[in-house]
Amino acid sequence: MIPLEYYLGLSAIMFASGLYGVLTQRNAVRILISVEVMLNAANLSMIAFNGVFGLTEYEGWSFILIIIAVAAVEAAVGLAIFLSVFRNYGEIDVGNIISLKEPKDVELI
Amino acid sequence: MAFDFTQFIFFFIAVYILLCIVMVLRSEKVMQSAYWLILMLIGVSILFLLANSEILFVFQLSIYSGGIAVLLLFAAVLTEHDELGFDNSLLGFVRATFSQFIIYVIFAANMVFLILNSVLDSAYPQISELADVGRTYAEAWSQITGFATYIWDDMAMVIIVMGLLVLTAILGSVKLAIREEEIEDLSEEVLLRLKGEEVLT
Amino acid sequence: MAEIPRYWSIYRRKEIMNDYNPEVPFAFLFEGTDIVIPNWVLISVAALLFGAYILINQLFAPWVERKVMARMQGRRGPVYVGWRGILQIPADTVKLLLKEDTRPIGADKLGFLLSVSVVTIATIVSLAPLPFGRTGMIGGDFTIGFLYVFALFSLFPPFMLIGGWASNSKYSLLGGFRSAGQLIAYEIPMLISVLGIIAVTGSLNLIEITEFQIENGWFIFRYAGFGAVAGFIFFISGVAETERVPFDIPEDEGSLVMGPRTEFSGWRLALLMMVEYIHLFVNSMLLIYMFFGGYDPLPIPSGWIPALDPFRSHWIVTLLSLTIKAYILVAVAAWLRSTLPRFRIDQFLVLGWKYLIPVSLAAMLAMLAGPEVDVFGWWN
Repeated sequence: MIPLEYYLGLSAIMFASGLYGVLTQRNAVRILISVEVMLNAANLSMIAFNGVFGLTEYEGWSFILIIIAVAAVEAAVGLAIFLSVFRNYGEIDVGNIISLKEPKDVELI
Repeated sequence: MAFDFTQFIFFFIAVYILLCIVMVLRSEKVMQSAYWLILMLIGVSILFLLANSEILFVFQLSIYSGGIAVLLLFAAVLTEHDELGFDNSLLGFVRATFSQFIIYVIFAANMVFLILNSVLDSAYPQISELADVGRTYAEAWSQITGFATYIWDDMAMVIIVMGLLVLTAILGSVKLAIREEEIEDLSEEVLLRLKGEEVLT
Repeated sequence: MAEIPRYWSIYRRKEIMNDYNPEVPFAFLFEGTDIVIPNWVLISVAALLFGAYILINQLFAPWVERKVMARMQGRRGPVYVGWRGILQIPADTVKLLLKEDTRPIGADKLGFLLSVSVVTIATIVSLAPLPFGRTGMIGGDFTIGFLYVFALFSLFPPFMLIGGWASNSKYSLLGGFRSAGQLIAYEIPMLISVLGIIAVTGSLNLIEITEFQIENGWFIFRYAGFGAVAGFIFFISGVAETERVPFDIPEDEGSLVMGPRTEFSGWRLALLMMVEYIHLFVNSMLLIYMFFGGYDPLPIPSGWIPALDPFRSHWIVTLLSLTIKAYILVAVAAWLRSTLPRFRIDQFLVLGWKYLIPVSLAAMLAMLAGPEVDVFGWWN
């Protein structure tokens, strides 16, 4: 028997690490990888809470199923967007893709 | 609660997962962080198995670390192989991301205390069914069939909407990722192949 | 003939298999006698036999394949080591283990190691849910038997791609891409073609699927030909998953030297060869359990000739029939390998995505629609 708190503590640390990765990394693929870490943290807490409420409850499990499907969608769309961005700009550093940003030397009217 | 071998396994896997996350965050190449992520996903699937869910173990292993991971690896290989912008030592890592690291520590500690306090103080029933090793075959199978019944009874519309979402995303990403060639730039052999004719060379 | 149960439940399994306990192997041999043998002795003996069975088959099946292939091409095959070259594969293994372990300059050390080790561990662990006859020689009697093997084999594409990238060689990288694309594409028809069987038996466990076929006839002959269609799709997908001719596009000797395995040498190459043959073995075993009746020697339902029933469920007969079927499939693989040319990559992916997936969906729906329409139904 594993107490609920172990799962939740691990999940909290994983979530915070994923958020740290999203905040610090500059490569878009690395940001996507950190988001996957955060999604897995959510999955762990879901399955822990589902285990607490007994063997005949399946809400947590079905949420995990939906999260996995959404993660697959996210990875597919992310791959396509990164490929087209890389084709147009030659890099996928999110700090340097600034063609929609307002240039500094143009004054506002 | 007595300390048993399932808790030992849990701590082992937890340390492994945290090690993998550290390597994901501070490895040199994007490809390396991608394969450390796959190793982390395998660890998470073993934690699902410890929480008495064989079917989610299968989903995690085959969809997450078999399907999604390949997409991430493709994304890492097909784009630029960048290097980290700072030293590959732990000291350099901490120095370069000092302010974010402070935020991370405060946030992680806050979250852990928040969750643990709320769970320990609340009226949640403390009957944890996680890692019940004495479960029989019949109980495990009835759990899987119960999950299937739950999905196709209560969640049926959700599954259908989810399928439409996945289909839309796949079609959209194929349209986005496919490279449209200029017809004039292609050689005659490729043109014939595009029309489906056999090319004799 | 008894009425076919629409759904095979776990309680039915207990009624039929009262003499069979997968928890304690070979316990039925000592029932009714005075001999008392502790369970751990039986389990250890069964584990040793299991390991020896797998190892002997691993060293013998490639020899059979090479001999069959040589006969078809008008050659002799291995002749020097042992009786007609029967010890050729152990000699090759010893040679590979004694060779120098090389790694290319600029290779990613951890990725180079991981791709071999994860694939090897996944392959060896995937032997667990396969029952070897009614002997109790089974590693784990899981509820998720078939899906467990499937999930472990889905670790192959990412780690093949990692190995190809980590070798720091263009042949390896291109081979890794092809391998990942091919394995991902053919996992889908492989799973869909057995969904009908899983729904009819109501079980994922390979023992229960086999017992269902003993009672009702092999699946390959049932469902008005759609069982054969599904079995054919499963076979094609299995050949594609194991990257054998005519689908050995990743290790295309003419253009890519050996695909993702180009830079591996010494014990790594020995492990990868072993993985390739165990993968072939497990895929053939899955085809046998799903469509060819598992360890059942006869394709007819069990009630037809009652005199043969004790013979069919004897443990030696079941083990032998499983082994003979596996060797027949190895010979079929050798036949394909020695006669067919290689597909081009785009034709191959078109075959998978455009043709096999719709046909396997149709076969699944046909199985669910008319379970009573089959050869064994027309008999009565």
